[in-house]
Amino acid sequence: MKQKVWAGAAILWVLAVWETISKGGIINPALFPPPSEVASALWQLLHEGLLNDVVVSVSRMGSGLLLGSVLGILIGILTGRVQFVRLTLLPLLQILRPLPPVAIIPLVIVWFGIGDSAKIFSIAFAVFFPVWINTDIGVNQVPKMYLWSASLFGASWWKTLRSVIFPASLPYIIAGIRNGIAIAFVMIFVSELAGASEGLGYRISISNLSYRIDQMIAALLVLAALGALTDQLFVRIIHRLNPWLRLT
Amino acid sequence: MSNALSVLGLNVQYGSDLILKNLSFQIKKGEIVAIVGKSGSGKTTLLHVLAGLKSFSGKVELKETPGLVFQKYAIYPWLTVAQNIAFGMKAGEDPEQFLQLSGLHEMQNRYPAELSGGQRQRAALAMVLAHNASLLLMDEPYGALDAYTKSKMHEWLLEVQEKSGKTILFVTHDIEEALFLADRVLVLDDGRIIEEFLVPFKRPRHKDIKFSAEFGNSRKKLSELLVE
Repeated sequence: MKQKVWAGAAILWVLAVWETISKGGIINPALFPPPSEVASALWQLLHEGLLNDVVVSVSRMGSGLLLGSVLGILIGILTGRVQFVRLTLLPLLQILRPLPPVAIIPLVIVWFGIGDSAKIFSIAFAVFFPVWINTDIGVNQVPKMYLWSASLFGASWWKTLRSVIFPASLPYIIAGIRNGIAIAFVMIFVSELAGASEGLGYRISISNLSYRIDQMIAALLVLAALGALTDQLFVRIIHRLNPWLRLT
Repeated sequence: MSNALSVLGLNVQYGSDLILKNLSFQIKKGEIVAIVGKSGSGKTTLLHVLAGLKSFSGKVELKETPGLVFQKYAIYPWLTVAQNIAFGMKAGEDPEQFLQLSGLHEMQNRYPAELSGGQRQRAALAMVLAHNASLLLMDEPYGALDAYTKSKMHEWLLEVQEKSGKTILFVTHDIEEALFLADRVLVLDDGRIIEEFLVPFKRPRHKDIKFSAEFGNSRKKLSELLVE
């Protein structure tokens, strides 16, 4: 509770300083409009369909995140536990991993156009790597004694994977997905800037073209709030499903 | 009494290093045997061989089903006490009697992080017992516990053994623990059994024997063997 009061006070303080320096002419209010104007622009955006943009962006991001995470976990388990798959896929994945995910967007537009599938593919591609590498490290870090114990209890390969390897790697996998969530927000923004007819990135791009800096900041704040909310929601769901995990 | 375990000419090699050298010994059914020795003498390796986790040359004849209790990582942190105990059981079997035996019935829905060190070790042993293991191999099971908890755990282990008649082979650094719990102590040094010490106390035992002159003398003898 005390922490929440402090966080609320810090936000209010930042808003007050921002309002003062912007209205007081210390900086150009046309370039850095005060929060009161940003709030009013946000209200206007809500009337112009901002919620629809939020829903579109979130559904694209959610689909890409889900796809990238599932593939990352599956391939991570395979490269982490199956020597043949590791030897086969590791060189290829290590070549692709350093590639900046935004660099693939022009190619993805050529392949998929500017529809939802292009955005989902770009996000899934970007999310895949942090989830994969974390899962791979996680399954390699499972203490040998957990595996020995499972083997002594006569656990099958599937039971060992499901009940020992996966939960033992979960802290790493979760770290990978949280990293993936942050990257997914970058990707949704960039891919919607690169070509879209709806979504938060599109909204920011339109505001830029019409030089509505108040609207740009309002949409950016919505994007930032969505990012923080998504991460916290994810942490809460994971904690509800796995009460033994200690997450912050 | 028949043998639960017979080991004859056991050798274990890692690369060019011979870890266990021509070990031979037997353990009778229902007997409690301690293995003491310096770090690196091969105690844990011996338990791993007997549990079937390491390859070896020589002859190991197991007449009972082994179950290994590790010092660390003994139970899975993501499973509750009841789920941990049920892990080694067949589908549909009820862990209730093992929860009762370990005195953890009230804590069956707790996770290991919510248990004390002693409770965790009791859950670990219950997990192995629930798997129908009749030869308990314990690797420094109480090494991480404080003196008071350790003493309580000793009494509990003797009580469980009394009720179940299980054969126990355990590794320890603690000479007092070896003398209080075991019928025999094998002293391992550099991969060889250098002494087999018969503990001069009958079971059931009371903790007061620790204050007897005979216990003191036995402790002195074993300490000298380990220092040499």
